[in-house]
Order: sequence, then C-alpha cells, then structure tokens
Amino acid sequence: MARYIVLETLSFGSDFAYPGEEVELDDETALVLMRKRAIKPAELRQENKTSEVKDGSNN
Amino acid sequence: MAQTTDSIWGGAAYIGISINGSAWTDISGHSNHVTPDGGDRRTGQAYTFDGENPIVKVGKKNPRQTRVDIIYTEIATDAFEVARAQFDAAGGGTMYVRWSPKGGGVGDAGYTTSSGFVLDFRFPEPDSEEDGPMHGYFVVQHAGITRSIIATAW
Repeated sequence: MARYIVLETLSFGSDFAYPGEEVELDDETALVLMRKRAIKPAELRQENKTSEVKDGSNN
Repeated sequence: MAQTTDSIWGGAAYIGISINGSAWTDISGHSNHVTPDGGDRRTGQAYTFDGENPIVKVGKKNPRQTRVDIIYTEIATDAFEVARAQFDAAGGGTMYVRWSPKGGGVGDAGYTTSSGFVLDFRFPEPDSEEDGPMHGYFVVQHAGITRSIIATAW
C-alpha cells in the first residue's frame, strides 16, 4: 500500500475521491490507475544526486 | 490523426441503480440501453440596432434526464419493480444511475448521476405480434453526471 495524489476523480464503490485529494491504494490498483494518468505518487522517492565537484585542476 | 485503436464495444457495459446513492444494484443483466439526455447549457441573447447577429451569452446547465431501458420482469428486487416502486412513491422516490461503457472494472471510466427522481416510467406493453422479451424503461431526472475512473470494481 502507498499513498497517491488523485489527478482524475476516482470512484471507490459509492464514494468519490477528487483531484488533489490523497488516497491509499494497493500496488496492483495503483499501477492500473497510473497508466490512466488518474493518480501520481504522493511522495516521489528522493533521488541520490551526485554532483560533480570541481577540484580546480585541469587534469 | 490516425485511426483509433481504443474504441469501445458497448455490448458488455455495466449499469447500476441505487435508491440511496450508497447501496448499488447491478442491473446489467436487466438493461440493454442507457440514454443520457438534457444537460445542455442555458443561453441568452439580445439583438441590438447595429449588426445582423445577436449578442449571445452562455449560462448554467439545464437538468438532465437519463433513460434506462430494461427487461420487464415481476420480481420485487428486479430493476423493473424497483423503478416502478420509486416512481409510485409519494412525492417521487429517489433514484441514482451509474454506468460504465467498458464494464466497470478497475481503470474503466464510470458515469454516475447525482440524486434524482423517476420522472417517467413505462408500464408493461403486451404485444401479440412481438416474440421477444417485453421491455420497459424509466427516466431519471437529475442535476448532473460525475465522470470518474473506477478504483474499486463496480
């Protein structure tokens, strides 16, 4: 289970989740809905950014 | 634009009705046609002394009427009797309709009416020249339709 931001109105039985709301979904459902661009992950994984450090030399 | 490969066959749609908006009855096996109608925008116009054409403004939406064609049966919990009971209810019984052209699975689009009432109900129409199952229909008048992507299968 993970949390996602709703991009398109979702139907959960008789309830709706509207754009901007946060919902918790299982992986299988989330995959289908992400393919439809109906949701996006609530928290993007922190990427390990490696920055080049210039040492000042020309080597 | 290239020819689409995403068209949808309408013969396996999901149709559901509810009298309270929370408990839904799947009537896909009792219905064979849904016709959403109405909902066009109101407009206003005025003609001035200058020019040939009116000044046209657009306003809010009119109410909608969604017609559901059903098979005539006589079981109290079937679509025909549920719709009839709501039509006959004093003051007009509440009715919601929802449908999904692709069948109501996860990821399919679904359309749900707002709370409405049964505006029109067709009682049985026997015909000795007709050999197929008897049909009926009901029309729900409501304010709007919500489109959603289905996250929990209908």
